[in-house]
Amino acid sequence: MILEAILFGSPEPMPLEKLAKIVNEPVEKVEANLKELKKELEENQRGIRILDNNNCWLMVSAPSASEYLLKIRKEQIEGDLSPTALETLAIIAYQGPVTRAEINEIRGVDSTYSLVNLLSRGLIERKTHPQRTNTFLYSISEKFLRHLGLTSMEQLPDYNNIKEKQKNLRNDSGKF
Amino acid sequence: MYQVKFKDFNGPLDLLLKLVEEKNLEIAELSLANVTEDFLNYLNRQELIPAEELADFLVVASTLILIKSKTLLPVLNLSEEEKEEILDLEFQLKLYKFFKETGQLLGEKFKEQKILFPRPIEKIITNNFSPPLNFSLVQLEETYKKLTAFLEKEEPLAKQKIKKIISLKSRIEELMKLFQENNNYALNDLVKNKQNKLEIIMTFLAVLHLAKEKVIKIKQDKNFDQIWILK
Repeated sequence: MILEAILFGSPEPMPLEKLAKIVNEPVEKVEANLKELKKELEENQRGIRILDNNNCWLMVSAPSASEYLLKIRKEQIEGDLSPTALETLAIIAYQGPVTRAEINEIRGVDSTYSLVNLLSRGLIERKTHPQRTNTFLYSISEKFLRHLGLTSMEQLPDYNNIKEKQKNLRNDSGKF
Repeated sequence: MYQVKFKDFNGPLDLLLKLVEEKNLEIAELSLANVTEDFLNYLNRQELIPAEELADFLVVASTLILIKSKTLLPVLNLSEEEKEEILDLEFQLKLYKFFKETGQLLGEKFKEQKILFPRPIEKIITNNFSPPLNFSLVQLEETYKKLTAFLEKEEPLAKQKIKKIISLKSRIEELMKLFQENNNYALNDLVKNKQNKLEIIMTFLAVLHLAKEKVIKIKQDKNFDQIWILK
């Protein structure tokens, strides 16, 4: 209940650790409660949802309310993304956090331009690689999820099967 | 025979995938052997492929040739490394196909505009007038003076800027005249008064401007050498 109120009061994504500190409870317990709350809102088809990305939690409106909210709120909707940018975005969504070199390897071409484009649209985020300080790790942003109407990464089509699927691709090729 | 245009694909994997799909083939060794010729035809028309991407295309081409040779010469004994290379290309192509299709799916989902809205960030109103307790008329006057003094200081700066712009413009005109008389000068000779820093800077800027406008060319044979300005 308190967690719900805190998320209501915060217009920006709340890091899990910060939430735990505020309510003075262990991180694991807070996370379990948040998941419970999230599930409850989704199952009861409420007008609000809870989005989690990269251990940050945010209260948002339900996907089915989108067309009504668009009447009172302006969300900057930019032009369509190019197939190249979408490809890059898909790789980051399913493989992230991922380096530019890894993206290039999958695509077989340089992806610098797409990455700059996606960063400027706020659909991806980057942070310094913990082991290699001259390398960036790219991952998708909370805005990416919000614009797809998803409240967590796992809701991406086939997300949980993807690792399995990749293994199958290998197996089909006779590897392993 | 091949209908794919260069603009239609992005990199060697994308081209390979298009060629395989055009023939309605599954991604497998045999189908790759099938499109090897088409792929190589692209490489032959090298002008279609940017130089910096050529290496990527050649890597794929070499594996394709390997696959093709294997189908043509079944007796050919491939090393473990070569077998691996073929499997890697197949895997890479399947993985690429997956992400390409998933990307398209994401694109369609974006178009549905099912956007989740967070609560708007509240604007904090700060335009209240809240004078400090020790507020006095004297303070008000002092503050006012401080502010106006600050404004006056701006004036000479602006003049200096205008002067610079004027002198740059006239410097450009002077140089143009010089170039009507002679076709080449050393940069050093263009500066009349070498003690005047502003003039050196203006001359340099004027030269850069004229070079940008393609009125003149700048030539220097090696670092720290004399810089020549040619018409």
